[in-house]
Amino acid sequence: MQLTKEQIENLYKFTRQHYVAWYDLQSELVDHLANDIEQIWKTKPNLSFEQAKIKSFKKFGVFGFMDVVEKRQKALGKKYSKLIWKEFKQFFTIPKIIFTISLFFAILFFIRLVNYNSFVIFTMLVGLIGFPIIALFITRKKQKEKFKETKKKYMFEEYITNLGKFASVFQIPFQILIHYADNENWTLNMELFFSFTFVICGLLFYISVSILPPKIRAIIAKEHPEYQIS
Amino acid sequence: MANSKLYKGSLQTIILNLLEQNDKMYGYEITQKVKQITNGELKITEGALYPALHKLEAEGFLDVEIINFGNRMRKYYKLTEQGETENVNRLVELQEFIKNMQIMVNPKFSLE
Repeated sequence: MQLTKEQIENLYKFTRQHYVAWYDLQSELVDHLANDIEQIWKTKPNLSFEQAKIKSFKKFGVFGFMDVVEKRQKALGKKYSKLIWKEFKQFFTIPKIIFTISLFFAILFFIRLVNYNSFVIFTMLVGLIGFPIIALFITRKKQKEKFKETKKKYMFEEYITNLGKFASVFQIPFQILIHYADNENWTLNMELFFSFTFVICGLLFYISVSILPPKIRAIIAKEHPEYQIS
Repeated sequence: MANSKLYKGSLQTIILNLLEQNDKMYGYEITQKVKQITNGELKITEGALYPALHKLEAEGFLDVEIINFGNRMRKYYKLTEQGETENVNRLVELQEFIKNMQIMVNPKFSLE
């Protein structure tokens, strides 16, 4: 006997009640529970839907779906990091390396040109952090609006705005700001380090905010045809 | 894996090999297939299966396809080219492991 539409809806609600907020994972777990309930009914046809559901859920262990959720987040975090590094490495291969090196020297010459003016350095660093933060803020707002409309969240889509482990890269410009912005006696090593770090952070922000989001959305859309790319 | 810790390290290899033989499968189907092949000796638990599948997927060894099955969605997993190569490598590793374990637990002494 196959589960009815109402029973499937009940299973979706059940997964949400057990802290599975993402539609992609909910769908997989709902299909698993549904298959198992149908299998249970073959041998124990007298069990009610609720009894069979609980019997099936117990097979996930004492932590229920939590373990599956945590491990999936970990796996997707790794997938996200892999995508970032893949794009990042591109900037160190021909022809993009020409752009990367040019950017490095442009920063180096610019800070010399402005004579390490603390206001200019401060503005550069605020810009470096500010643009991606604004972009992420706008994207998160759009995601929330889309969720209100569709009631569907996708786990990998959240990495577009939470950036996984790469969120910690945002701390680097702040550290430079603390140590460099007020410093008037720049050594050559300081200049090189500043330009190098500025370029690396800039590339990582550009990749995470501009290059990766459409790619991640395309990956989700390929797997979930009902996913709306906005 | 409910019935033996010995199988735990081989779960991913079991999944890869099943997908090599069956083109595409969904989670529940994998648990049932393993149970059927081993006559119920080996039971893959839900709490171990999905993390393993998601890890293999994130590593690029599996591709997914979601289709409508009646009134619900079904997620099928299939091997990527990279997954096929990985399966071969892991099977070789597993066979080596089994061979070495057999030598360890059943040594043949010789007087030579």
